[in-house]
Amino acid sequence: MSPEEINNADVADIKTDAQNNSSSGAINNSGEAVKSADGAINVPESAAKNQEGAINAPIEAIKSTGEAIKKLLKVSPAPHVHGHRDTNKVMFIVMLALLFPTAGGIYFFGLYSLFVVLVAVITAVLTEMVSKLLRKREFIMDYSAVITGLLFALILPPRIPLWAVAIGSAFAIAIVKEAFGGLGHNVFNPALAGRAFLAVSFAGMMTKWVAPVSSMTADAVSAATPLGENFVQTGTTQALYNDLFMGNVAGCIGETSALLILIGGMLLFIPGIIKRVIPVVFIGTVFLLTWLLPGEDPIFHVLAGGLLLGAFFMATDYVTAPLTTKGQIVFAFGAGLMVVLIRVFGSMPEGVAFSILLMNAFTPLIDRYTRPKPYGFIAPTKEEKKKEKEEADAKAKKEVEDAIAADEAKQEVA
Amino acid sequence: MTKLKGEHMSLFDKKKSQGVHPPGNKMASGKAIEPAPLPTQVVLPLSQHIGAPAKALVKKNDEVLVGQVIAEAGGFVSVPIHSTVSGKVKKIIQVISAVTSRVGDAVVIESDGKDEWVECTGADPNTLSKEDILAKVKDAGLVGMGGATFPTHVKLQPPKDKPIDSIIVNGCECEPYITSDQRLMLEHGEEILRGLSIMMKVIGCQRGYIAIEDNKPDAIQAMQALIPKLELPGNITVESLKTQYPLGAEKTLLKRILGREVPIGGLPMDVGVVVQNVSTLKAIHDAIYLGRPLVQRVVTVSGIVKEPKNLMARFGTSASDLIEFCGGALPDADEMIFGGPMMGIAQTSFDTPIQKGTNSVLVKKNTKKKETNCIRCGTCINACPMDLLPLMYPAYVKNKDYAVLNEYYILNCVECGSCTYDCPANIPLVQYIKIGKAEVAKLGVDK
Ligand code: SF4
Ligand code: SF4
Repeated sequence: MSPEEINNADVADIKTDAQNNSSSGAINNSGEAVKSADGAINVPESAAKNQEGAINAPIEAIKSTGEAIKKLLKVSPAPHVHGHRDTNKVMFIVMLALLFPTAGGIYFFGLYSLFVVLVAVITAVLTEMVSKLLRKREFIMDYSAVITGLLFALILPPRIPLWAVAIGSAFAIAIVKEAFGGLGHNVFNPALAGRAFLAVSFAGMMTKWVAPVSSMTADAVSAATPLGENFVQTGTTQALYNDLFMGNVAGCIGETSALLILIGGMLLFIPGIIKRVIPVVFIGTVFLLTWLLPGEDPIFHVLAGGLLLGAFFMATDYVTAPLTTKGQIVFAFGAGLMVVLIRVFGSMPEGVAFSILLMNAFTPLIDRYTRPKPYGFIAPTKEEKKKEKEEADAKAKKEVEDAIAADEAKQEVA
Repeated sequence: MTKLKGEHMSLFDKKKSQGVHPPGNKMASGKAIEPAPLPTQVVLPLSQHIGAPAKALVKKNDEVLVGQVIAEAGGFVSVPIHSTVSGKVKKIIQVISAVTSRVGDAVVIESDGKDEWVECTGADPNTLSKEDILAKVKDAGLVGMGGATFPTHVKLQPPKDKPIDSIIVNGCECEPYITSDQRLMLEHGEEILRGLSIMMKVIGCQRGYIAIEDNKPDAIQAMQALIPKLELPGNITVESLKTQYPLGAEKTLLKRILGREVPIGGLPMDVGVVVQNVSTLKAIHDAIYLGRPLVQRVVTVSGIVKEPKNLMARFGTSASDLIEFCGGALPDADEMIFGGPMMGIAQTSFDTPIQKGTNSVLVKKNTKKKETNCIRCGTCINACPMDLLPLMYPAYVKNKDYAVLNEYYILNCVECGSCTYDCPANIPLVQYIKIGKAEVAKLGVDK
């Protein structure tokens, strides 16, 4: 079509089409963009069906010097540049950080732990694939299932049967994550919920602990975790601290070595990949409360059990933690308080997992009450609030009166 | 005299600063403003500003001169359009506006190459009354040239019940790539200051701030050196501000300088401030001292072109002519943006004409990534200068739950794009917000 033709023949059509299209200016090119998955509307392809291509014609037609349209351009909404942040990158770093405690688990509890980790991760990824297939969603390899699998394995006892690992991992992904809508929509941390599921279903095997073994194949000797009732302290307190710090105690696969968890945690903490306020407040709360309570050793409480792993890797889960700093402080404090209550007064030796899960449940509520005040927000004064309330009351009253009046009128007619 | 006002520092992830730091990429910052070659033909849309479109006064085959009015203002919030070349009106066509995305008329004028101007008579602003100045500003077709294109004469007449105590001159240019304002401050600082002085006179305020980001030390120095030389009335100072996007947004700028917050749904004048872009001030100077209507502006042509430049271009010049003058675009260019990469509007064709609000022509390669699920990381919250929760909007927009959007103060969003820039899930948050805003506005009408 020559430029002249476009002008003469199509302008009227183009105009109406375009007006329909742009009844509100801003949405015009945006509606498209939201629909199109990749954000970029490719004009050439859609030109035939899409009015946008057509609207464009007159401008191109103006160059009636015979010069052809040089190039069709992509039209996508602003902003046209993007920062370096990327979900996949974030998850990849989290995964790397998790490899430290994972390696520790394999070192302390033997080769079997490696199988636990592998089964957990592979099951998680496969389950995600299948769930996506069933939900007819595209499967994206984004490490989130890998992280869930890893975390899940790290909070399991070292000699758990592999079939139980597979069941728990599948539960974590299929029920806790995908059934809620997939990444970003889950209320509970999948790994923790998976563990809680196993704890409820197979209580016995979830409380079998073994002493660390240095050789890869040695037989496991059952032992008590430092927080357990049967735990007997053999050496000095200093020696116990050392063991706890290095990881030379009984416990879940990835939670025993404070050192390795801290290395991995710092990988996330220092660049601010995790929200820093959560581990600080969480651990701080546990430390302070146990320090205040008579007969409790704050350093022991911080190093023992799953507190460090939970504080750095699980409470900080973006999806299940509150959004604002204020909310995160409330969340972390609540979790810390729960941990102390369970450990000191509860019937269970350890409560990190349940504390975090419980606070997960409160996250929506916390978010609701910690919404930031926007720029330029002027809080209504007391009088205004009162007036508003009075107006609402009056309106409600009037409605009731009207209804009664209408009712009476009806009865009269009858 | 580096001052950082309104900067919050705190221990944890609390907002140290609101906004993002896209790389500056000010490739043309060292290039002096060059006149672009005269176009052989211009396309002048009648709606290059916010408000009612101008009404055409010319018809096919009329002879026009540079600066001749070809369309008169279509209302109070509207401005006239002038011819930017001398020659003959070829036709009137329909185009889609690069500013409002609406379809409107445009006058096509073929240049005779003589560049003959209408007679322009300048005047000394001291001899003019306030009304005269306002009339001249309107007749010259002035609009905010930072991109918002709001008619200047309207901005110069704030309602009586809103006394203005400060004028902030926006020389931040916080968008990457763009250097037109920087060059203007370096080369035409005097005109800008005189324009500011006229504005202070008309509005009747004594305090003027010139806000410049500290990534432009040369401009800061130039302006600081000029102020004492010109001996202008009133108190004018240069404020050097820490570089950050979106500092140049009116509301964030005046918060940083004066510590005031514009109430939700309000305008800067509600807190006694008018913000004006440096290019507009130069245009005010030209309109008064030289009597010249607005027919050209500085446009930064940048991105993947051979040689990025700052060009003085007539309105209506096709962007492709400017790109050509800069040595052409590189072969993988598939996107052209009028304005900056953060808020600019992607154009459908390289041939879109330059308009009053076009401060930059950015040629680039489309790098849009696929949208994935929100992971509630909170990055967008930290990036938002208006303290909103951007992540909330997409779900409500998708579910058409528009009433809830108001609870999250969607109308407070300045569409700066910071949230989207930093979102790791590549969610086009601003797009959802724009749709949501339009729908919320409709709700308001329905009520
Ligand atoms: S919500 Fe609006 S104001 Fe806030 S960062 Fe996003 S675009 Fe800017
Ligand atoms: S930045 Fe993106 S992924 Fe993160 S909370 Fe905001 S919308 Fe969600």
